[in-house]
Amino acid sequence: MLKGEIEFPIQSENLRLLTHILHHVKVYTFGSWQLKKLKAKDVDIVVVSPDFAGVVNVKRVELVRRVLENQRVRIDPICLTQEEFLKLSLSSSKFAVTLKSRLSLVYETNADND
Amino acid sequence: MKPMPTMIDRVVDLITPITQQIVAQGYDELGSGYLSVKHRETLGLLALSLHDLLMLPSMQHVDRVLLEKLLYKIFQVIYDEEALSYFSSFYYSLKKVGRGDINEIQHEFAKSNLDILAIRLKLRLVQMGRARFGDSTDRYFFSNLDRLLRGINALFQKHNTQLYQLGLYTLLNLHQSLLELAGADEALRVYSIGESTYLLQRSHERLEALITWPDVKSVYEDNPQLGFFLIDQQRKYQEIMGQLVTATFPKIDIADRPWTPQLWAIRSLGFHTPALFGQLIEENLPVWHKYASEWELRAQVLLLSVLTHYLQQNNYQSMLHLDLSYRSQDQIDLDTFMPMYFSHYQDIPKTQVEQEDMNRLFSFDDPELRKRFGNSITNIDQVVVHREARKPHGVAEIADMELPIRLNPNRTYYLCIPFKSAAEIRTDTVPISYAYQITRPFSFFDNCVVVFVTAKRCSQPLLNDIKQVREKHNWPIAVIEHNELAALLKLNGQL
Repeated sequence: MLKGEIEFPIQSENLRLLTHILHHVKVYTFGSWQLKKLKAKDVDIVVVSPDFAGVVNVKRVELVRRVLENQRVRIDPICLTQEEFLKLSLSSSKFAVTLKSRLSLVYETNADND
Repeated sequence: MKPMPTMIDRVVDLITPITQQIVAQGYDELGSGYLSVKHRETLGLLALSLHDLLMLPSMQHVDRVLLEKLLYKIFQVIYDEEALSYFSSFYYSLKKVGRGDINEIQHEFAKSNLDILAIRLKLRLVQMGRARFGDSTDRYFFSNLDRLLRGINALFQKHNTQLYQLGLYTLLNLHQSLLELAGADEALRVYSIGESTYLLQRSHERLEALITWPDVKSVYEDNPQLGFFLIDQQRKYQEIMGQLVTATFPKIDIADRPWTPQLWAIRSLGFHTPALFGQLIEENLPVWHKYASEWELRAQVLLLSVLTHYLQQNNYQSMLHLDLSYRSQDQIDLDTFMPMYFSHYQDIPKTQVEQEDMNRLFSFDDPELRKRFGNSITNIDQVVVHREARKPHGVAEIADMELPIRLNPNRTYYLCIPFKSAAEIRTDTVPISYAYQITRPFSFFDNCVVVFVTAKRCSQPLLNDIKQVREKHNWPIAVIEHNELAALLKLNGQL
């Protein structure tokens, strides 16, 4: 971690818990905590997994929150399949552009989880 | 002699085919790929109508599951795809008005109206216990609203009468969403409690000021759909603010209008003048019966909303049979599946179960049964099984255990296991009223296997129902009941 950077508030061993419900997963962060707003109460994450296919979004969010619920911060996950993430990445909307510029990969399933 | 059908009977007779048609078309639209703003708006209105329908107290359980499934899928398109742009349309609307290009303004305001619809849908999902308020996205709704109000203001300041209708609709839609938020149960509002009331007052003041403009007045007086919407909003505002309700509907004949604006107007009336509302339905019902199946989706959605409102107003309590069709494309062979995930499953028929075993099984409460059954599950990550077997019951929970499984390399399935211990079932057998708990997981998961685990036997009507659902909808549902359950637990050293 570089001087002046803020430590990501969810530890990687907690993010690893996601592999119990998702075989392949990438977790990105974006949003207020990155902008060094130390008082940010919640952490925005993008969880990308092919395992979300065929699962309605309200349920995806519920599944992710259940695994990460014991954190000291509130988690606001955006849960996408790889196709949905790609679609968002290719979008030229202001939100997509802003999101892409702030996205930072914080966790990815290891090959041995495959 | 057969009694004459009542008005209620005739309304129900129309709701059934219209809902079947709408639901089929809704699923088709969702699967069609690209959806324009207009299409999304129609789907959003459809979701609101489905929510109203789901509020009726008694409905066949599979119909309920299929309506919920469509509602969640539409919510995903409207809220998660649209509002995920953090209500940026609110931000841009002011900018686009400043630039002055009419096409751009119309497009941006259409998107703003869709974003407003998204938050109205979110409120319904929160009320259903399926979502919560206060996410970053929701906060942007409130923080960007000021820009939209300024955009609407700027639009009227241009004194371009061509844009007044659009501006008034947007303001009324916004007003409606804020009224709904302000009127929602306090427990649901959490973050929005102060903001929604303050913004509602601001938008209402703006509305009251604008409708005194002569050019604006002629816009809503010439358009009953808009005029009735305005009165509806004024009356609801007066009610929620504890003011004397003074706004009254004008006496205009709307019968010569096309069906879509006519139904909008009837819908607005329905909240305030039940007698006139009933009268209009009675007058129009024969024509609707004859022609509604040929209408475009939006008019049908509005009709469903009007008819459902009529049933709600008349306190309709009977079971609604919509007989919705849906068939899963999954090919799950339960005979292969069950031994793969339940240890010693194939040995159940060979296992002797004594009365003492049954007494033990009947002594388990729900957490104990879940824990012991969890120890009989194989080929699934034990950490997940352990956590699911011990998780506390919550309102949002769909089955007692939800376990991700890999039936093929490309797709994750969910094994959902609802439990019923003997203590939970007071009757000798599990009654059919528990069927919804068994089929409910299919509203959340396209790829799902349900195994119903019960200490007592299923009643014959419940077993018949499960068999029928399996055949009609191709949903894989298995049952482990009574002595089979005792045998399975015994084989795994859990009894």
